[in-house]
Amino acid sequence: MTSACAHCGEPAAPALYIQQGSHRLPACCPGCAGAMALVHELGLDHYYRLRTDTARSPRVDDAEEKERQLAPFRIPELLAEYESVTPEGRRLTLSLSGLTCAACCWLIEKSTADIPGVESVGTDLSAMELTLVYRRPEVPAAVAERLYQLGYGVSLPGDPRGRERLRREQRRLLGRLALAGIGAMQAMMYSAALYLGAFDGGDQVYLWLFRLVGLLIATPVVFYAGWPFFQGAWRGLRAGSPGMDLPVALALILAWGGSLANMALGGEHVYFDSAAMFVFFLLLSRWLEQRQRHRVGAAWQQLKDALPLLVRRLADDGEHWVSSRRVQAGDMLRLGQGEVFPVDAVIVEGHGQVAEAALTGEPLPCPRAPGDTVQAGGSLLQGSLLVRATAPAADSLVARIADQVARARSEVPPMLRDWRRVAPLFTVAVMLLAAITFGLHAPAGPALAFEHALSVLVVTCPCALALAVPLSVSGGLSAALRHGILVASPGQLLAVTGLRGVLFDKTGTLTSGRFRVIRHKRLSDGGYSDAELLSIAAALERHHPHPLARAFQAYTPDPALQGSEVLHQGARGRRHGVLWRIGPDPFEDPERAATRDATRLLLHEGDRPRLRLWLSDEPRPEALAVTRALGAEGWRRRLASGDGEGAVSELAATLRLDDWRARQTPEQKKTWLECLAAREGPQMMVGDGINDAPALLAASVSVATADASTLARKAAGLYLLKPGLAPLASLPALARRVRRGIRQNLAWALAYNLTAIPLAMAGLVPPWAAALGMSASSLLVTVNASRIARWQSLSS
Amino acid sequence: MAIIILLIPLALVFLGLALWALFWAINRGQFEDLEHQAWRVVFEDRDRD
Repeated sequence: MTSACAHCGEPAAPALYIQQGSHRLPACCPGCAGAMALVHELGLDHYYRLRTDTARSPRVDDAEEKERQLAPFRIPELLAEYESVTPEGRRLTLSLSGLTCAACCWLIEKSTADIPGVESVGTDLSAMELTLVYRRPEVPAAVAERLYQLGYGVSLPGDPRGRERLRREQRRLLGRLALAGIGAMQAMMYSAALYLGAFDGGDQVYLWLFRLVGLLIATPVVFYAGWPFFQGAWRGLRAGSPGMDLPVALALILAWGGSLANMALGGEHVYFDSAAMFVFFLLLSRWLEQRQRHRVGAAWQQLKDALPLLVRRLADDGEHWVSSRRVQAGDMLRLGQGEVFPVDAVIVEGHGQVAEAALTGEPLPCPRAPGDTVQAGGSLLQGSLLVRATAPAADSLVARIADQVARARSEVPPMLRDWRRVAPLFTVAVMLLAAITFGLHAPAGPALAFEHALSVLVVTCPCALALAVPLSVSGGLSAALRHGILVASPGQLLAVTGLRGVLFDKTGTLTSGRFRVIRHKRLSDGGYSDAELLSIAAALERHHPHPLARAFQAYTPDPALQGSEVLHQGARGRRHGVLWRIGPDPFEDPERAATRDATRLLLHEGDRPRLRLWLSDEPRPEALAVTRALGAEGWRRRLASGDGEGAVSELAATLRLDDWRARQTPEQKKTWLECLAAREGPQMMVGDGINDAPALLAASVSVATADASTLARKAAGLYLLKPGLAPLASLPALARRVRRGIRQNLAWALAYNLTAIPLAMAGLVPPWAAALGMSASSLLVTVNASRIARWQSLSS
Repeated sequence: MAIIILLIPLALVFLGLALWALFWAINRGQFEDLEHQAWRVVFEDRDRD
């Protein structure tokens, strides 16, 4: 009988459970058992009834992992950078992981609030953050430890000050929007009475009262809520290129000042309502845009976890955890199993298996010995090393590539850039037109001429034009996000429509990078069946950290095998007193022709080889459908891989690709891509490792897969959020949809402006109608862009 | 009609109060996590057991 762990939902271990009153709750591991006991002890069992998703299993048996997670919270100088001092106590914001539903927030808040010294705890599910206010220095470590015991990951956030700034900016804009909205409604209410002529011929006192109230309401709306427009206009003027904000600011100041002048000089009309409405609709568009941008930005932030914050440094008085940023060239560092190198270094002592998939694309970890170099970003899968740093963290290869990528990412999409060039001209033209209108109507009296000029300024407000491109693009970004594609560079999404070809990487991109036993052969007859030998191999490899070991998860481990032990290369264990061993096959492959470049392992009983195994990774199931769909777009499909000819040509044939090249270095991939781009036109690169990064950076459109290394993700303009390639197939259609949306929006904005300006110049549009028309036009553009955000691919 | 002279300033006072409350809520971060806070009411407060 199998039962599920009451904490995390994994299959439970047979003899492990927690006794709670009359209930026996099954558990899968001591970590989950501990977490359940802790939840019960704290009286928080309610959590299990309220949660909508299972929890993550804590790994309490791994003392190293625990030490690494908790160490940062014991170093006051490191925490000081993240803390702020408030009247209630010190305030610290931490990043959480493993939160699955609102019940987690409740559990965290309840279980940490009674730790001595904690003033308050607040969690934010959408930002995955915990805000802790405390008075005693030992509190952060205690809170982190309790969270760790409950199975949540806790770490210091990447850029605390940037995040705080972002939050303040969001709050301020929301406040402005709310004020403008309420103010606009109030101002319109009072103006309606004036427009309807309720006080014509009546008592002038009421007329004055209503105007005064309009002034009282419109003033904060214009000068507080509308402040960003004045700021923007001033910035544009100082930079010598007047932007969209200048006519807006001018219209606002004219509408407000003109109304005031009309009141003082006994003019007929006031425009406080138009000004307030104008501010509100403009802020609404701005707020919608900001939200969309931040949503994409937040997803970026979560994926930006590259290098460890802390490392153990050896000093005269022993080992200390220090901030990775403070490591200097020449420092001696100790790294344990599972840790990631924070800096480039040379091994001084110890042997270990180092996975540098992030850097080299090589999926198999390499054995490393004293004298070898290791690079930041590589992870130590097995062993313990003493290394000497060769450069500070900021100068590591990884950090330099990251910088390069960050620069490439700050680009502006070409269409937006063109628009920015046109904007100042447009602004100047609008103001000229307003001046001409004033001149045309001047004979009819300055008040009327002023009103018509104001209408021109308001009605031609170029917002619809300014919003047409960015809103359509950001609609496209959220549609892409829903289809599992995160767009880091909007320009690349638009560039998809012009592509002529696509270049794929092999391992981890077209193939899953997950190994499988494709063939096995018994070598000498020891009276074992194939199934028995495979289950012995599975038992040996069960706890091995090597990616090849995952190939054996498909088999049931033999229960008779005891004390399996991870070796330098392979593993060994005892079964009925006999030593079994599995490791790389040192002999020539007898079936090379049939198995191509498959990786081989040999299983020994004592000294006798028993089973030879061939392991290989498989093409992703959807790879053929995706390459076919991209082929239907008229793109040439190619494969470039660092692997040998056999495996590469076979995959290319299976997926019916147009061309392939084997044994490619990162530089060669880039050169080939540049060649193709020069010969055929823009190319797309799809890859997953750092070895693809040069080609990714050189390509017109670059895509990183979901399990790509952090750096490949940084190098790519787009990346897939879910494992697999499926979203790629819908990318061309989405890009076309975004382009069509942009064209529609631009066409509408132009048509509107060309109709509205002559009408306003002729004096046929009163200011309130101008504000309405302008807002309606912006709203139409916004709604059309949000239609793009709801786009669905035909296949899904 | 004269009552308007009294009612309109009164309406303005209410408007001011509403805006003050709104800004108070925004600055306390009440509009930031709309998902988790909505669940709070479902969770029992252990202290009252």
